[in-house]
Amino acid sequence: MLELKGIFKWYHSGNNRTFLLKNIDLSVKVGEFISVMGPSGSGKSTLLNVIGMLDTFDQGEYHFLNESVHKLKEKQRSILYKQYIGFVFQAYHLLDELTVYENIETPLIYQDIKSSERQAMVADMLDRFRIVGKKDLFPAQLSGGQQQLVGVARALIANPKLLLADEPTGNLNSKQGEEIMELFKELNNDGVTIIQVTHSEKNAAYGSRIINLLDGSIEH
Amino acid sequence: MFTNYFKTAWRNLWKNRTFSLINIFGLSIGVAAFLMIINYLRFEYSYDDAHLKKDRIFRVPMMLKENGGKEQTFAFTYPAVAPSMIRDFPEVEEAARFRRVGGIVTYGDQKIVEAGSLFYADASMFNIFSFRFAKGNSASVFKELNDAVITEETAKKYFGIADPIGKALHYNGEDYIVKGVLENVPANSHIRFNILLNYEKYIQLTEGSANTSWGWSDFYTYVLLRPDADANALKAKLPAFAERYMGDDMKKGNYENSFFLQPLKDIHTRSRYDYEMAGNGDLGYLRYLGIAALFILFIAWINYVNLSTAHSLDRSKEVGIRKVAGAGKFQLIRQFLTESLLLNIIAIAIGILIFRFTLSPFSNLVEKDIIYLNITDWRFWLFMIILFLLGSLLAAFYPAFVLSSFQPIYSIKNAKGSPGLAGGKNVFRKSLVVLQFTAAIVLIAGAIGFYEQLHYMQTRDLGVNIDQTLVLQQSGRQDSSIVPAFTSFINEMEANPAIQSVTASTSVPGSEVGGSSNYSLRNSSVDRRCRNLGIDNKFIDAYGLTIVAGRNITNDKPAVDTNVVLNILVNETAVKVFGFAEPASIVGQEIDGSGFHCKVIGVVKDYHQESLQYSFDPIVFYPEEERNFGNISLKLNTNDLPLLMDFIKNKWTTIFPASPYRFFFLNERFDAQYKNDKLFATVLWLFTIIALVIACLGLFGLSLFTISKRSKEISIRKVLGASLVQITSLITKDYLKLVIIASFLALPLAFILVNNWLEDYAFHVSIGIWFFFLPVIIIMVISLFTVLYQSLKAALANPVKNLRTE
Repeated sequence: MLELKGIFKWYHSGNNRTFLLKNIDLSVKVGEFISVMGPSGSGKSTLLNVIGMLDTFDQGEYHFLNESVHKLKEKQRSILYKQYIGFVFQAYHLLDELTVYENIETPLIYQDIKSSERQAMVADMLDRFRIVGKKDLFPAQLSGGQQQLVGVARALIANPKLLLADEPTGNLNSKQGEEIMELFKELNNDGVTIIQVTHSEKNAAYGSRIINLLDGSIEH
Repeated sequence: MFTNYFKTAWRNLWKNRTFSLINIFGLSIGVAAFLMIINYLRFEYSYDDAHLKKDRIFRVPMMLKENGGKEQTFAFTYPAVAPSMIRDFPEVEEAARFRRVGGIVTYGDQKIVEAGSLFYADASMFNIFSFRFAKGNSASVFKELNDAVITEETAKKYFGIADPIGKALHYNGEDYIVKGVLENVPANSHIRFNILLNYEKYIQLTEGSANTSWGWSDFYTYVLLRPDADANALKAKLPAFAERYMGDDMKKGNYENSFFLQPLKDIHTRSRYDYEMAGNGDLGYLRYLGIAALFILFIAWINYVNLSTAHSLDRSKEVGIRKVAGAGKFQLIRQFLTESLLLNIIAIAIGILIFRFTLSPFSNLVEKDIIYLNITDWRFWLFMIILFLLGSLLAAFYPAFVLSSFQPIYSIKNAKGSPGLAGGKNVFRKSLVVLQFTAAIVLIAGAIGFYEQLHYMQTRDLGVNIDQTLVLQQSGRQDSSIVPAFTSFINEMEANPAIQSVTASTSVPGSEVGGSSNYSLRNSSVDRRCRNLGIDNKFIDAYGLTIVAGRNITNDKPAVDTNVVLNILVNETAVKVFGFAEPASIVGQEIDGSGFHCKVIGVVKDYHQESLQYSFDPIVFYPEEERNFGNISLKLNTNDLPLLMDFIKNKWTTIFPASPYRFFFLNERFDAQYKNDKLFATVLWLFTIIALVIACLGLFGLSLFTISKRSKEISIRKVLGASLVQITSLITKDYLKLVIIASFLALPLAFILVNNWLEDYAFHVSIGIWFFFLPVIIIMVISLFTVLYQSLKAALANPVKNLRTE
């Protein structure tokens, strides 16, 4: 599915080069469910952002479904990304002024999908997540677990091949967290590749592989 | 997709109600004020637009310059100019003269004074101008010598609902038969009249001199050029034309007389000639109003840009999420443009509504008929709306651009926007605020400057005492049969102890001296143009004027017999005009003028005959016969004014049964000269305040934003022990800095503008130190108060609250 080869990312503070990612080699196969673990500041989120093409890197190669991401222009990258990747955040990051329905619909709008098609797709998704009754509510009217459910639904609406989740249960209580993890498991069984960042051993156990990061490097 | 944009846009506006309100309100006031001024200016510049041949119509004014003397300009010229131009220049198709006369017009029992609205006019005027006939037509009028044409309004005044055609109006011993009725003269016509009489009759009455004179210059003259004629080429021929007809006279008199062609469209707003018809002239101040209009719109738009950009930082998270959801940069720009378009459309719509509802009070304020200020032409509105939308788009583009270029990761993580944004872009916002303040300071400085000038004009010692003075107006020239009645009236008035003094004259202060003639020193052929003011022997004392040399008029013979030497007074300006350094040296000099041999017996100190906009004119004071006095000035000293007024009115109507009773208080009349200036000052203040309100709204919104962004910093400082004053000054000093920078930009600009403008006034205030401090202090105080509220609120807030959420 994707392969990172010798990825470095750094920033300068004064004359020192501080590494965020250091010589990352990682290959992910279709259908894997990977948990990235490590202490705060170890580069978990950075790695996830690089994989999600939300962030750039300074050195190395990144191959995604036979495309060389490091050689692509921003626009091509964004096409690739729109088509294959969905993102879930710890803080849900729903748009406050949009309803549940509209939040889920937003990615489709940016992909220029026709209104009737959008309706059908969002309806399916609402149904699948059993939140049809909440579709006209605004995020502020939902519990954290429900918000994250909407966040996942929004990430999945465009049928991504890869789901990236940055501590998806970090803001949830354990019961809500479990539900989300069960959901991820189901998705993974349906064929979606998942990479999640997590602090929790328990959540990491849902995955098929665990990667430990320390100071920007993968620990073996 | 657009419905989605609109939906989010609407919810966003609603969610940030304060910001949206400030933004919309500021913009709509700006739009309304702009429309108001533009409409008003459009009216002023629409003068004489209704005349179909307006591009071919020119007036012929002239200029006289005595050798070594000051040049004098005249909006009118000699009556012989019109026929001579038709004769000499094939490019002149038609020419028409207007001779303004005045006096009582009677119909049956009605006696109406037609002051300044009665003209003898050439029939060709109906071909030149496009005044429309309501009854009759240009072919049917002015066929007979005693034909008259009146306006509909005038017809109603005299005849009520009866058919005016064929009715006789009595004026100056003649019956004039109404042959045509014109539609009312539009409010935007520089010529205003009630009654037109056949010019041929005037030629007859003056025994031809109203057709042939090259010395009597009371004739407003208009020419219509042929469609193919070149006005500049014709202008170039005018010096030769003057030479041809006046060459000998100019040589003999050692003066220069030049004629000009003044386009019709220039008369109302750009005429710098003396003796202009009322209401017209050099209305340069309109330009400044136009500048004010642009400033206001500019300030409103800057507000918009500033508030939107500031507010955009709050939305960086949203931008990040949308980008993660797959939004492209242009999709985002489109979304934000839609949003600002929505806001702008609301603002424009409200602005137009405000304009509509305030048009009526505004038209009362500027004393213009509302129908002339209310533009119904759809093309104007289309243009305005396109202008507003274009401006809005331009103003919206920057915030949209800033927003859409946020980096998604930084903006999601960092609710405060991406790094670098706070620093760099701040400079842009701050420069906009500086520009805004610059515009506001220029406006305030202009308004203060103009107010000072107005105050100066109204309070300066005029050199003449116009207080407690009642002026009674006798109409026109009377025959000698009036003399006994006149004497009896004067005696009756003098007998009343509540009346301090009684004096009669041909003109009174407060308007220009009616007549003027050429005078030359005996043994010199140099003509000097002086105003003629006929007075009695009490005039100088009654008006508190000073004789600086020689003596006052006592029982000197009035100007009747041209064989008798006429004793005259001159003013100090006339002394200079005649080339004397000292007033004393002109006393005893003999001067010829108006057919009289005159001898200067005294010199009067210069005083302000007219508004301070005008410089001193040379005036010759001569003793005049009673029957020619048009004004009787009474100095009143009473506690019971109504009683005294009744007494005066009763005496007048008994003694002069044929004259309508007309009076005015001189100080009010004098003040009326400043009507336009006062009006302008009021309008300028009004719009300056509007501009300030808009600028303050923007500042308020911006400070609200900045402070909310700095709440954490403020809290930390408080925890570290900063006092209320320290925190307040921390925030306010940022804005005061901007005001100071703006002052440095604005004051030189304001200085140039105001100076330019004061140049139009012969007597004007000099720009003092106040000019440099007052506007800045005003702006500082206002902006301080605007920011202070928010700063205090922030400084007083509980720091724990702000820190806990971090």
